Amino acid sequence: MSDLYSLTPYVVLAVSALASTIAVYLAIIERDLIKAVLYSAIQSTFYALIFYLLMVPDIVLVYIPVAVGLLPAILIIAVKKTEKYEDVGGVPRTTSIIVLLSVTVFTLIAGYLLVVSHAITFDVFPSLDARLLAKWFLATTLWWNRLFSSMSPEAVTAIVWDYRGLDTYFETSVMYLAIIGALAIARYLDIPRKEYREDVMGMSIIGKMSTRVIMPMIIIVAISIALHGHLTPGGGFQGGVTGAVTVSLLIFIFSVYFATRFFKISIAILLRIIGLAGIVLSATIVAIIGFLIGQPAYIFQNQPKIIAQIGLPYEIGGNLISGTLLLFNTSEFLAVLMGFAILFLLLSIPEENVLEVIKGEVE
Amino acid sequence: MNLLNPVLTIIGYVLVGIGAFCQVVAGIGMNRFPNFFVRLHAATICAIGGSFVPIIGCSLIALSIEEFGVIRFFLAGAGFVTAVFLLILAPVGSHLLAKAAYFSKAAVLYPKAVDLLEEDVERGEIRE
Repeated sequence: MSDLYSLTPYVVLAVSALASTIAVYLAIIERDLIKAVLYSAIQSTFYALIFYLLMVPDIVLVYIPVAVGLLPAILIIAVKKTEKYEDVGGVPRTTSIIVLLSVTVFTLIAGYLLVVSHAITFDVFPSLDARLLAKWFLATTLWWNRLFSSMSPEAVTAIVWDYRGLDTYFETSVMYLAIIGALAIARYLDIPRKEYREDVMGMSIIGKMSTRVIMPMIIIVAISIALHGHLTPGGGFQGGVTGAVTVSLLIFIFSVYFATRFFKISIAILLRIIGLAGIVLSATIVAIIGFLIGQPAYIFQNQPKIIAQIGLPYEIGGNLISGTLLLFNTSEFLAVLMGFAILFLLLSIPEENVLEVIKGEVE
Repeated sequence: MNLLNPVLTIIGYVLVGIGAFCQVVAGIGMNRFPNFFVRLHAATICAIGGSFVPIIGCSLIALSIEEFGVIRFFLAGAGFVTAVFLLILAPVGSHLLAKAAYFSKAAVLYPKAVDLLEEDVERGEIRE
């Protein structure tokens, strides 16, 4: 009986995966768009159940309101404002069969991987004693032993980068995907060229003068937050967002024509790509070094471990840099600052120019 | 320095008390004042009286605690710098808010006693 009881989560997992597969198939072949949205909401519900079973409650807390509530609501409003039926005569039968086959194959591969992980760790689901894990992290973070610690006195940064690097990486890439989406939507738009005139444009002289005084200090604080990310609370993302305040101040207090003297969209994209390359480099540099000198190493490795004895130095000339953390924070600062600069510049394109481009596309 | 410490403490506590009083006054004003521009006045009381003054008070209190050692100078210095920036930037912010709200006509100027800015604009001395 107890065997049967311990099998329950596996059965629920399998049934949820199957049901979400069917819901995806129905959502794709359905011609009534409202019903398709409802099918996709059903699929999200089953995914939330799967996430809960795999013990990621933080993802579930975000996933339920967004994917089950907010997204279908927005989609239904959009469908009501436009057309209720797909006008392309439905999906052809061969396409629907291909979709069904590919979704089934994906589900089977995912299930196979779960079974393989079961064979390795003898357990699909993570240990229920999560507190033990947290205690281990906290005990090793400030224990200055290079084999166990990440040599950074800031516990949050150390844990996020050294134990949950993949998680951080994907969280970061979500924001970059959003910016890529904004760039793709605005690919035909450009900020119109116009001469900035101090006496006509922008807000009053009081605002301009105090902004000129405060702006260098904001940049200095932002750089200090980013470069001290491995020592104090903060880091690359927080520093980048602080620095992005300067761009929005330039746009709102002066004018977008004044801001484009310092931030051109193309240069911002270039700097953002450099930052992204730095993030990728800081994730893989130890693995690359290990590959070159022929020693075992991991992606996202920072300090040497027992089975992978190479790592970056944790200090240079007595200054603590915590291995890859300084490189990561610097690149993340650059990438986030330039990403937000691009967003602000795109948002400040005048409406007439946007309308011109849209009309030109339609006609 | 020892003799000065109680004086600094008392002045600091008095300043913090003034700050608490200003916060309450600003809260009442925020709820009771009739339109945007007068409510902005209450917000400015909150920013200067309710934030600038107690931060100075906290810095003085931090200076007077000798157990902190050298750290107390860092605390007090950070407090003074923050207070000075608040003193410069809070009025600028409310000035820009008021100007933007006035010229975009986003806020209704209903119970109005006098509007000198309107007269200046009519005479052409100030550009919108």
